[in-house]
Amino acid sequence: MVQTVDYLAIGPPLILALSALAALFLRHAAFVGLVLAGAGEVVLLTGGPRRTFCVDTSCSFVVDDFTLLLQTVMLIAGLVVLLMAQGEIRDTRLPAGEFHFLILAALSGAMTLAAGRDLVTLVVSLEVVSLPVFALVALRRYDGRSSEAGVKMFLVSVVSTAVMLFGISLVYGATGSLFLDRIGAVLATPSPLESVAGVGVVLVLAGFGFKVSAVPFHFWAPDTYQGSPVAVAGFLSVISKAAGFAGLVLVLVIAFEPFARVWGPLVAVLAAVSMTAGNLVALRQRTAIRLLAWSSIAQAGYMLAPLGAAGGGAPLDDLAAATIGYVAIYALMNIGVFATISVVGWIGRYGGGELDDYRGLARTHPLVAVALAFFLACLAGLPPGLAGLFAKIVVFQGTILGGYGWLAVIMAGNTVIGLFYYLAWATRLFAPLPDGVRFGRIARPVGVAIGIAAVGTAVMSVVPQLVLGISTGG
Amino acid sequence: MSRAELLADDPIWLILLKVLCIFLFALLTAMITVWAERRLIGRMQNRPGPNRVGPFGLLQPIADAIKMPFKEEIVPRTADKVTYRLAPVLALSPTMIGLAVMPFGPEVSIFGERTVLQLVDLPVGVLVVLAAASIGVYGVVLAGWSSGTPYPLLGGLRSAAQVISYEIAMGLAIVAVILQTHSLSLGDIVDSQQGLWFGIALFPAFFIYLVAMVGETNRAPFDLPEAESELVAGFHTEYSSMKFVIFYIAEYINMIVVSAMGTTLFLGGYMAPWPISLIGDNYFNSGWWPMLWFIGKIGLALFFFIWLRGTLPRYRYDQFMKLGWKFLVPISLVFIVALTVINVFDQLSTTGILISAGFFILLLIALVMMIPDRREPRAGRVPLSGGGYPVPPIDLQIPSKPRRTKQARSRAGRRQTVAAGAKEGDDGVS
Amino acid sequence: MTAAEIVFVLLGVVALAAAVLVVTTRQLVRAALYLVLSFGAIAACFLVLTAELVAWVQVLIYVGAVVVLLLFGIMLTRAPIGPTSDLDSRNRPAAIVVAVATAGVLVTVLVRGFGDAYVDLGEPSTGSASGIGANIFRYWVLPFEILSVLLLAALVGAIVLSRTDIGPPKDGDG
Repeated sequence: MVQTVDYLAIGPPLILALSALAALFLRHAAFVGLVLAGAGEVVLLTGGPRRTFCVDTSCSFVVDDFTLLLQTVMLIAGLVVLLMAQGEIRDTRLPAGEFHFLILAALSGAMTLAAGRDLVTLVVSLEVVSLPVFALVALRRYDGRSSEAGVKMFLVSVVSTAVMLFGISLVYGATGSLFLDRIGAVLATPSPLESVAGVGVVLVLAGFGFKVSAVPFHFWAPDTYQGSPVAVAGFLSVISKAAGFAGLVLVLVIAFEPFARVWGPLVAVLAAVSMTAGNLVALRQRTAIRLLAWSSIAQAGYMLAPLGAAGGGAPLDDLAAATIGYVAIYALMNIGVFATISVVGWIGRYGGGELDDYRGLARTHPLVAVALAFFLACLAGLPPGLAGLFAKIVVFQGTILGGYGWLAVIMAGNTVIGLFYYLAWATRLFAPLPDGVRFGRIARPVGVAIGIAAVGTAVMSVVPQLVLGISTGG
Repeated sequence: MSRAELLADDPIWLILLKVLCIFLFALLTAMITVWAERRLIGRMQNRPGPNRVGPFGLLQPIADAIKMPFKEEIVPRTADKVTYRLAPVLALSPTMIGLAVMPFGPEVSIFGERTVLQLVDLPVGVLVVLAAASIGVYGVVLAGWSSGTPYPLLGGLRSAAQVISYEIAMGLAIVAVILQTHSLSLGDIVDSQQGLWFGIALFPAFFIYLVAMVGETNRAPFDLPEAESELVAGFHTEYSSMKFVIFYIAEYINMIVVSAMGTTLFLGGYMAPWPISLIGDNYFNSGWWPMLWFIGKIGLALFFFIWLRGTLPRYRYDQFMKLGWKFLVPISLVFIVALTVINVFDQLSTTGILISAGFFILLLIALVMMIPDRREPRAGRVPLSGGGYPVPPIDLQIPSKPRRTKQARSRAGRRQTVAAGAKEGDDGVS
Repeated sequence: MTAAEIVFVLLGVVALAAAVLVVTTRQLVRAALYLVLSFGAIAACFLVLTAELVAWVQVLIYVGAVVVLLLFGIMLTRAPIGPTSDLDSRNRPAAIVVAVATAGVLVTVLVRGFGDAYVDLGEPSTGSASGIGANIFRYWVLPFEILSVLLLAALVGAIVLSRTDIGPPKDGDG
């Protein structure tokens, strides 16, 4: 038997991988590759779902609405990351070709992950997302914190992969298959190996917990964000996280659906703890990048919440749709914040700067300040940031649908805490300019990056139905 | 019956006999090689070589074998004793594993028992030889480390880097052979060389194997782990007496193993060479004759080793690494891809041809990328100072002698003071 | 018990004991050597299970390359002869508790799940080189191809990290 390959379906990640290679030698190949991959997405959007690398009826690579949504969001975020990195590449003489290569390689891994439908593909592409980032995180060789960040992330990531692989081997041992749909079918029938499969499910969940930095697997995130170049922190916070959630949703909803009563409550607890701990610690942060790190931990909690409600017997597709919708909207608004602080952040010590450094930004750079305020409002879920508001509503809906009232209550409390620190930051932008402070000129690529993120978030605010309600089934 | 089936019903006495023969073969060949090396190198250098013990000095190895164990055994006080004793064993034992899977000849009859001249024929025999070779490096690394002194440590480090680097090239060269035979069993590989030897059919792979096998065995011109002009004796500087002998023998058995491997993979194994193979309906390819060809070919390969040692000067370390990583590995990769395309060319569809053309273009691009931008005037020379090499600056500027006043000294930086002090010392001596 | 089972159990004991020694020994290089022993025993376990290719690849890659590189790294930085005191930390009791608990759960689950499961090793085709090759290149081409991106990224990442020309931004509004 020879598997047939649908080159159009695997087009976008393939183009990215090839253009990553070209980017090592050619200056603009990375951007050309991103645009070509985007064109591929458009072509795929117009057609129906595609499946390739099939064995009998199970396929390793499926392009459906779920895949397309995540891939498109990742592509946009990747473009923003590359654009906002240009400033730092120039100023610190980072090797541009290698930087582009690593980002694109990780991005192609993330896009494959969104399409993968078997455990091997998922794990391998999750590694493709992580491994280039180790090198990227440790790239500020002149800063000791960067090496520390790299080592920390490396160790945590390797451990989490080991845990996940062990879980997968247990699941494989119990079900005899690696394809998600076949695992789901086998687990649905009672068998003496249920306890083995259960432990496997929990271990896989723990592995993904590391990747999406949910409490208690979060401790690497703040230091890593702080030590890495801002663009890389943005990548970690948005694309890595989106990839992690893509894998998590695929595994939980397709493969482990019959075990929802096992993982549901666990995820609910993870969600509650993540959002509470993340928000409480974020309250006390003084530096922008650490605040974003903790807030992204809290946001991971919101994203987990609908999945946590799965134990209640609600249709899993709706819950997954809520999570994925939130991930998509979060990706756009959060990458916007990172793009903004990548320009303003240079005033501080290499990374993000203190919150107080943002005082008076609106006086000299009104557009950037308004954009940042808009992104922050979105993250807080407050008008005019309607995108964030819609996302929050969907998540609440999902949680209540699953009958997890207590989780919804915790989430409401956390939203209030979140409002506080996001707004405290936003109000600083409009404070009077302190004496002697001067914000530098904004480089054009970074300006474009902020613009893309702002437009994306604005579109989400107007027509959120583009991304909400899309689940793995479609 | 196939090889594996013939081997499977060997009685236990036959297996033991084979083990004994292989062991004796390894030791005897090693001893003869030691003698031959000294005689040949002597001849190449216009001197007689050992000629006092026995005719042509033939008994010299035996004299050495008697002498060495009676020498005083010295263990450095800084040594890690357990590992220090373990290292020679680790160096010697894996080499024998390689010989165990080597096919010495075809089907024969020993005391009425039909069998094959081979101890075991594993379906993954090639991997076994490679794995054994890679375990051998532990002996060298641990010997270097456990001595507890700097030169052996440096030698051990060099050896680790060297063996790993050259094993990649060697593995890739072997992949080319495996692509042709579709089997990892050494017996099958010999059988599939009935027509043309792979040494000719796959000449680039053969060439890479030849270079890699010298690198893998730490032999001149790649004997950097024990480069005597740089590291005294490298990893075995601190070893004496019997332990030294073990390292010495291990090196030679290792040579025999890679030679046997090269013979099996590229020189038709135990098959008779071309004109002889035509005589009398393959008479010389049956019975015990093939063993002669096999040992003869191994002898040729060993002569090649000795010849290299007599001819070539030692490589510098960075040149050596460059040769491995930037020349041998890429060439063998390109060769493998080319070989694959040639193998399947007639089955290719249009898409396949397009894809392979794309690969070819990528290869060309990669090759173009490998051409250095422009030759810097100092490229290829050791940087005299700075640049990360632990090389003392040859263009050292000795500062002019400062006045011997306290004021001048306090003004001068610390480094200058040190240099000045050295200068004064020199003056005092002269 | 058959002879193969006894050998398998013995090898398992060796692998386990070596693994425990890796963690408990206070000599850095010895830990690496125990790791070699553990890997070797596991490779031998594969051999008993008639998975020849996996066994030798395990020896070739883990014993022959990974640990050698590990030793290389240790020796390039520091390779103390004799015990190192900072190989242990005060977290030792906590680590023991966690390890024992994890091992307990896993062993219980595995024994309960697979305690009386027997695999017939009569058909060695799945562990053979051709069996594994057919599996990878027929059914798992996609992960195999993704791995090529992974390895290339690892290569480039390692080279980038060894570059020394990356410097802090110059003063002023960079």
